[in-house]
Amino acid sequence: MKHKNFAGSLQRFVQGHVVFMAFLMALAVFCVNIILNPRSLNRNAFGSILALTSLLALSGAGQTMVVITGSGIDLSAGSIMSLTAILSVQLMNGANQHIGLCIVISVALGALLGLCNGIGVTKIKLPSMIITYAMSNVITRLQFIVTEGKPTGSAAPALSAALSYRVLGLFPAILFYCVVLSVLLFVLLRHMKYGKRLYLLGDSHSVAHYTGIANDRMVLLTYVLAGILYGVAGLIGAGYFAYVTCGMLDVYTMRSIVAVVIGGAVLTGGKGTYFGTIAGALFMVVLSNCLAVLSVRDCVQNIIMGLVIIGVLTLYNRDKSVRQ
Amino acid sequence: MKRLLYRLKTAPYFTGLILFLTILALNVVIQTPARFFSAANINSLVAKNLPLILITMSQGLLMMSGVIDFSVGVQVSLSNVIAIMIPQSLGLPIWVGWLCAVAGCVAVSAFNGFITTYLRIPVLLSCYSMVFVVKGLNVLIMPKPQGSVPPVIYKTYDSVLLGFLPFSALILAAVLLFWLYLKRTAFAKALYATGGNLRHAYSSGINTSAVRMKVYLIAGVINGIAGLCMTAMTASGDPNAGEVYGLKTVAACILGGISMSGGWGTLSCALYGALLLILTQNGVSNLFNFLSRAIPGFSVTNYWQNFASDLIILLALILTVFTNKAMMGSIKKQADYLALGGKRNEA
Repeated sequence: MKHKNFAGSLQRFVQGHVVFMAFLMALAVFCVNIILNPRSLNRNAFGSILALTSLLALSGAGQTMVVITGSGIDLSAGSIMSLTAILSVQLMNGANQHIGLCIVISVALGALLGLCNGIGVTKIKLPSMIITYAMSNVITRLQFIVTEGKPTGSAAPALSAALSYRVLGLFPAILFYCVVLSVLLFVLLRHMKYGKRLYLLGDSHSVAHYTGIANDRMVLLTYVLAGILYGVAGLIGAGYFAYVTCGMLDVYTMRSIVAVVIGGAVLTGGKGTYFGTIAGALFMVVLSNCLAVLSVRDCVQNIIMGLVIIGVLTLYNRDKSVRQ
Repeated sequence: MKRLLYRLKTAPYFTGLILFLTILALNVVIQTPARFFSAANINSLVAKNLPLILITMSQGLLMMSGVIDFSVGVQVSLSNVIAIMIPQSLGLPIWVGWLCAVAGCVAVSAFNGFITTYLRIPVLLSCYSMVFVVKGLNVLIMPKPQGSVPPVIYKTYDSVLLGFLPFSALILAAVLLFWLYLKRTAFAKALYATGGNLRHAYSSGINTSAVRMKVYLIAGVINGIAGLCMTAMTASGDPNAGEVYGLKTVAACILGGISMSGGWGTLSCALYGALLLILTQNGVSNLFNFLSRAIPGFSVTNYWQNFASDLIILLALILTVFTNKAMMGSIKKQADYLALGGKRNEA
C-alpha cells in the first residue's frame, strides 16, 4: 500500500509541476546524450539547440494562445510561417533595403490569415481543426502559385546576421527575441485584462459569457494575434535559414502543438503558459538532437519520437476518467 | 412527397447529399453525360479512389463514436508495404502477406484504441504520435518504393463486370452491407450513445471503453482492406503514399455531415464526403483541360488546379454550416410538434 501512496504522490507532484518536469526531462535527455556521445558537448551543438528551441518557441507562441481559448488547435501555423518566409525572402532578395517592408507584410498577412481562421471558428462555427486545416491547404497551394514551385532569392544579410549572431560565441541572438517575446506574453497573459479573460474563456465558455465577456470577439482577436505571431515567426525563420523552399516550415504546425501540450496546456483550454511551451520546445529539440547525434536512422527516430510523446502524455496529460 | 422531403431533410446525410449532387451535376456538365457515365470513366474514378473512400468510412465510424484518428492514412501505407514485402522478402505465398497486412493494421488500430480509451490520452495527440510511429515502421519495412504484384490481381481489380459494374464497387458494396447489418445491432446504438455523450452512455450501463475498442478494431480491418486495394491499384509498394490521406478523411467526414463531437452521422455521410472530394479534384482538372482546349493560349500549371480544388473544398466546408442549419431547423420543428402531442413524421 505504501508503494501505491508513493506512486500517487509522485503523480500528483508531476501533474502539479508540469513546466518543471518538462525542463527536467529535457535535461535528462541532454545528459543521456552527453554520456553516450561526449563529443556532442560543444559550443556549436549547444548554440544550435538553443536557436532551434527559440524558433520552435516563437512558432508556439500563437499556438499557446489558441489552445488556451479552448476552441481547439490551429493547424495553419506552419503554412502561414512558410508563406511569410517565402514572400519575404523573395522580396528581400539578398539586399537590405526591403527589411522594413517585409516586417509590415509579414504582420499584415499573418493578421489577415488569422482573421480568416477566426471568422471561420467564431462566425461560421466550424471546428477549428477543420477550418484551419482547409486554410492551411489553400495557403500551401498559394505558396506554389506565387513561386511556381521554386522560391528564389535569399534573406537580407542584415537580418540573417541579426538572428544568427552568437553572443559570447554561445548564445544565438534569436534566443533574445524569444526571451523578449516570452516577457511580453507573460505580461499579456498574466497581468492584463485580455489574458485574464482568455483563461476564464478557456475554463468555461458559458461562465465567461455570463460574466459579460464577448466570447466571439475574444476568440477572433486571439486568432488574429496568433496569425501575427506566426507571420513574425516565419520572417524570423526565413532570416535564420536564409534560404527557403515551399512548405519548409510546415512541420512547425504539429511540432508547436506537441510543444504546447508537453508544456502543460490542455486541449480543452484554460490551462497552459508560455514558459511551458518553451520547456516543451526545449524537450522536443533536445530529443531530436539526441536521436540525430546517435545517428539513428530517420524512420527509427520517428518511431522513438512517437513513443516518447505517448509516454510523456501518459505521465501527465490524461483525460478525466468517465467514472469521476 | 412532403413526408419524403422531410425525411430527407432530417437525415444525417442531407448535407453530404446536397453538396455531392451539386458537384456531380457540375462534373456531368463539364464532361458531358455520355463521357461521364461511361463504364470506363466510372470504373477509373472508383478504382483509383477506393482507398480514400474506404478510410473515410473507417474515419466516419470513429468520428461517430466520438474519436478521431489521423493515422488511418499511414495505416493504408502500412498494409501496402506489408502486403508487398512479406511475399517478396520472405518468399511466403501472397495470401499470407495480405492477411498479415490486415492483421498489422488491426494491431496498430488496437494499440491506438488502447492508448486513447484506457490510458485516456487526448485523442488528437495520441493519433498524431501514432502517425509518427507508423510512418517510421513503414520506412523500416520498406525503405524505398518498390515491389510488384501478379498481373491477375491488378487486372481483376481494374475489371468491369457485366459491362457496367466495376469490380472495385463490389468491395465498396460489401463494406456498406456490413454497415447496414451493423446498424441494426445493439452495438450501433451503443456506438451512437458513446459518441453522443460519454458519461450518459456510461451511466446507462454501456461499457464505453469496450465499444470504442471495437470501433477501433473494425476501423483497423477497413484500413487494412483499403491498403490492399491500394496495393492492387498501384501494383507496387510506397511507404509514404498514404500520409496525405490522414487529415483529408476528417475533412471529408465533416463535408458529409458527420459531427466532429460524435454521435451523429451514418456511413453514407462518409461516402458522400469522400465522393465530394474526389469529384472536386476530377471536375477541376477536367475544367482546366476543357478551358485550355477552348481558349487558345490558356495554360496554367498544376498548382492552379490544386489551389482551385482546395479553395472549393474550403467553400464547401463553409456551405455545410447552412445545410446543417436547415436540417437542425426541421428537426427542432418536428420535436416541437411531437411535444404538443402530434404524430411522428407528419409535421
